Amino acid sequence: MLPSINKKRSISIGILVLFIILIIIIYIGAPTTIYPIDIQNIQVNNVKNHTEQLSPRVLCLILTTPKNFLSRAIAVNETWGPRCDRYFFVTESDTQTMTPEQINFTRQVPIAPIQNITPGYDHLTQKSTLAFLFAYEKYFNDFDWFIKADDDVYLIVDNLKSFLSQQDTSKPETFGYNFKVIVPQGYHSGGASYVLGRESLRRFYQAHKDPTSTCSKDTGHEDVEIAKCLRSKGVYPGKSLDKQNRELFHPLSFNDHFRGNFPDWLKQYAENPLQARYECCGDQTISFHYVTPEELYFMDFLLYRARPASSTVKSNSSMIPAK
Amino acid sequence: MTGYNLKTHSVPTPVVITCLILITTFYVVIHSNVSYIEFQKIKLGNVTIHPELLSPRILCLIVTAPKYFLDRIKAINATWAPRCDRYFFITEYIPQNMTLQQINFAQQIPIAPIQNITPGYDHLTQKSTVAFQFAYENYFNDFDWFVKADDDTYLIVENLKAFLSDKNTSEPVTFGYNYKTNVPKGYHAGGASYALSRESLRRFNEAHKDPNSTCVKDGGAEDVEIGKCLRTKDVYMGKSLDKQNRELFHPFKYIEHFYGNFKVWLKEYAENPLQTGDNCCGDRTISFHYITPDEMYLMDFLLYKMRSRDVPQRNK
Repeated sequence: MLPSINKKRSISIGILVLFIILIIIIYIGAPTTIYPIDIQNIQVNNVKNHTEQLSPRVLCLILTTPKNFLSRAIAVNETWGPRCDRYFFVTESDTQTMTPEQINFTRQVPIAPIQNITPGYDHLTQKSTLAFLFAYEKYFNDFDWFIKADDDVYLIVDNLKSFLSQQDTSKPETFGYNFKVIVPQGYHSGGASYVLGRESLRRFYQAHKDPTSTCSKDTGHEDVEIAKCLRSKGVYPGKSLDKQNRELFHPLSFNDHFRGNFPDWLKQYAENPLQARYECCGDQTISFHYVTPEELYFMDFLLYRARPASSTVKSNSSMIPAK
Repeated sequence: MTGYNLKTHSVPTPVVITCLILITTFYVVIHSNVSYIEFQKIKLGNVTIHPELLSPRILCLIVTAPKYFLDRIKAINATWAPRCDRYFFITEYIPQNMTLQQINFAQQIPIAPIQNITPGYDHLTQKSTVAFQFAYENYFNDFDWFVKADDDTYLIVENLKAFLSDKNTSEPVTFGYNYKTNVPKGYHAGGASYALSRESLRRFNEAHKDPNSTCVKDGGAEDVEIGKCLRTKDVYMGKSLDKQNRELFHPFKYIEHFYGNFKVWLKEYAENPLQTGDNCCGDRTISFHYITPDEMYLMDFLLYKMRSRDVPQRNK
């Protein structure tokens, strides 16, 4: 009897030890909880394979001119410019006519190496055209979207990327603030900045290489002429309202949109109904125009540095901020 | 023969039960995600809790005048003031001298029911003084801190609350932007706004009830006179720099602090060395001065509307 008891007992002890070891393994090995959402994401990622939609790479082309270097361009350089995956200032840079400070500035910021830019507001079409052609020739394969902005624009680059991550860069589509007049299917306000996808940029380049093309190489209004050129190759403007039908790109300052200080011409031009107060501007707003350098620094501080501490318990008498 | 007798040689029942209990316990513990840190918090929670430290209750007193109702006050009322636990506008209210629009608007905003306020910039000391007395007489027990602001001050109220949450309101202390001149032990710049603790407010009220007090009831510069009065009762200024030694209260606009466009006198007045650029203003900045109504809407939009996602810090 005794040998049997020992055998059975040792088996019991063995099983007990096994259990304890299993429990320890499970306890140590149990890491983070696996959320159902992660599993969903994994499945989605296996279906579509558009990597640019995870975080699209954006090239920013910022039009400027030497007299604005030390005021506007420097502010862009110190605020939103670097948030682009890459950015270039597109400017004439004739060392004969620049001051030492301006020349010095050109050494510290990325200036697109483009020759023969004619200075002046009358030649913005040329500047924008050369900017896009430069982007195609040098950086076409490195980016998903190409945005042209002026030096008095504040771009909220994260929101731009977020918006573009839901768009398809292989479509001949562009995004910006939509005007409905002058150009077939409308065009984008230059001041609010506008974005070309890869297919759009490719077709723009094609258009300019085509000797029979009607695309203007200079003269005319930059935003109108670029748009006309794009239309000649079947590139069309996409929609850019948020889910609450609020604009994301803004051709005027925040103040003018918020107050509803709309010039009469805008009422004729705008594709979408003009809205004021809190309907003027989406939470994921992408751009404002007519921003001074001082405002660029201030907006940057408010968006990226100053962070209201998350509120804890609110007492009964507190009111929700007015909408 | 060694028979296999199930009765006496099966695995002992207590062992099985213990194992099952252990397995169950461990699974429950794992899936309820109780981390070690939470155990620490539970222990700390048994130590004394000062309720006002969780989220201090703040009464905001905004000094203004009827001519600013429709622009400045409208903006403040639509932006930061409602984030105070309660707020009042401190203003004279003389319907004979007001337009219909101003009177109508006044019905929609919380104006402190204070009589006999003398209008005009020369009487701001009186306005602030009666504001604090009103707060003491009517709301002393309902709030932890009492903040006076101008109608061109923008307050980031959450940051003010976070800042005050680890300060002791039973101390005779005040917080704001610190000047070191004019008043013994300095005084706070009025435009940057300043906060009085409960003890400070109590002593301020005591000072004004005391017939022998040197506290001025009107005239002079408001911030200087209030500061002087508080000093007579040993109320002192606290420090209000953040961990990186950056200012939280600002007597000027952001861009002036950022660029360092300071008035010449500021260098002599300021208690702390003047800083510019990214060091001008803490991440948890509390106030700016000389803010126009338009700027208030912009600040509100950028700080509160466009904060739906976590905006990443920029690379330097």
